[in-house]
Amino acid sequence: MTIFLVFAGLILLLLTGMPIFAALGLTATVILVLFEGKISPVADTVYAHLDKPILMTIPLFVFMAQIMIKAKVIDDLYEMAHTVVGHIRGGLGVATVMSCTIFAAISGSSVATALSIGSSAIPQMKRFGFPERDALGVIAAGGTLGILIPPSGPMILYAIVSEVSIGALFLAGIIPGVLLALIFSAYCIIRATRNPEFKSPDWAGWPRIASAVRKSIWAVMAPPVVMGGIYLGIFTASEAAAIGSLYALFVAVVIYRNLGIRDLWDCTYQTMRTSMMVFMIIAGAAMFGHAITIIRLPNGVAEAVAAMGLGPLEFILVVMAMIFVMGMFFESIAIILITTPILLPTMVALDVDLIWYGVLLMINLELAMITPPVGMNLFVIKGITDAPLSDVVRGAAPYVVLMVFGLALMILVPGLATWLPYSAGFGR
Amino acid sequence: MSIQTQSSGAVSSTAPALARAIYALVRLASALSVLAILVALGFTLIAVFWRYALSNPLLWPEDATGWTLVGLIMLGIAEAYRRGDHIAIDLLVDTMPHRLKPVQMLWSHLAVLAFSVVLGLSAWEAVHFAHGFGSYTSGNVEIPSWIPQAPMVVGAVLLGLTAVAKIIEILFGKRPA
Repeated sequence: MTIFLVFAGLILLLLTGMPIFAALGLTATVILVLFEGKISPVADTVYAHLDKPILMTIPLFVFMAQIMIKAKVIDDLYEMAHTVVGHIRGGLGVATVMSCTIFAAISGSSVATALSIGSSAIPQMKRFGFPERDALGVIAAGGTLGILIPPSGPMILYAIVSEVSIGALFLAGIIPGVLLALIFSAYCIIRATRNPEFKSPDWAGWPRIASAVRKSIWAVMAPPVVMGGIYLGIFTASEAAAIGSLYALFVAVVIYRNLGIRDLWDCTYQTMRTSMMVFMIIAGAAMFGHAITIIRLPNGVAEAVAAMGLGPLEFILVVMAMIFVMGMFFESIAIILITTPILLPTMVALDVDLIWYGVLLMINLELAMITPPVGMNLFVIKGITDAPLSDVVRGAAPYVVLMVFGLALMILVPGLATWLPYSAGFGR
Repeated sequence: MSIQTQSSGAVSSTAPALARAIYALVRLASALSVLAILVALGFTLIAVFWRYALSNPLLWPEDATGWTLVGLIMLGIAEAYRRGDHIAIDLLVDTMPHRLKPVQMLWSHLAVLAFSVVLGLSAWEAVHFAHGFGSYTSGNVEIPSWIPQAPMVVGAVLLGLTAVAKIIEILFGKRPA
């Protein structure tokens, strides 16, 4: 009954349109007043959750991506992918997925990936008569790779809440991310092969390919610079983000020579604004997490699951179904920060691998980005193309099926997610 | 869900001077927040440089980064709120008749005001207690613990003031977009 009341109250507040952090914080306040009779633990809880140097990973990766975008370093990415694979059947779709995959490894954000790559890819696809609905779908879906392929903002949040190594999670996202990218690409090729409507540009020839690869090399090198340090155990995640930021500054100032002081300020200001959205939800979720711990809600869930006799796989299936439904209506950061503290004791009791679960959660949140009625990437694509939302939804629909297939594959073969981090020496 | 962008942050000519003064203060704090991001980046790079280039790992950057992070968050939250950046779920709000929008926004700003009051009172209590008790931080570097906690009071006050400014805007005629 308490669980029902807490969630009904929270959902009611969220639906009134107030900021998520306020809804979480006020729900927590009501619980604290009712059960503790005081609000004094609020500040200590918020401080304890924000005074974590590892959280600097979030603004630093945002900063790195901002610099790369501002200095137009990523503009060469789509051109390279388009030149290299554009000529094959469905190649423009494959080029879009390829650019999204590389940009995802720089930005850590699905929306930023869809927005940045979409802006370059859509005009090219239109130019070559790529069917509009397919173009909208591939960008919406390719953009979602931003939260699975490291660095990923949502992954960082999950790692912090579940106390799993961020480095291990980053590595765990690589194989599933690349696998999903390959599945998307294969779909583009198969669809184009069966449909004469799809046209492709002529083969660019080796000199143009070499030139495009050379121009994009600085963007392509960014992910290895960041992930290489983590994989080799040289840097922590926040240090890797700082090195990535330094790399981005070097490329923008020394190589591209198009980043002035004013641009640097704008990038940092934008970083601050983007990060604040996340940090305030963390603050609200910290209050909420503290409050539900006081009323022993997570333990209640664990006891209920134990009473139902669910095994790890059944539990994961139930949770994935629940998160899929939540994802249709709620924002991914809120889903991570609300559900993880509640489910964590149960997962530990059932011996669920938290790295594996983190990857499943990210794929499910990717689905949330392209499922109506509330799918952030659907709105982003609609925003940059002016296409009807129904067209974007229809275009993305096949990718929803592909992602569900990918999710099922990860559930059945956990090693796809866990092999890389464990082989790199991260313990369970 | 959406990122609330209905108020651009620009103060209309009819908005009272109080709202303008509050927004100026919030923008000043946000500039400090922006600088703090670069400072925190510097701390992390210094730690890496000292560890690998000079083989002399430093202990203070980790603590300093944590404190700077709390400071930059608290100095920046009001600006993000002023610019309408904080994420909200507008599933039902979008279907609301236009004439009810100001009421919904008023409710939303009142909620943020209530949040800031709760955070501010609690933070003030924590700072006051830490100062009176003479407690110190528990990391590698020990400083009085009220110092890194103090930005929470500032952040809550700035957030609350911004909510007040937005309420003033609604009550004194600035219509939501």
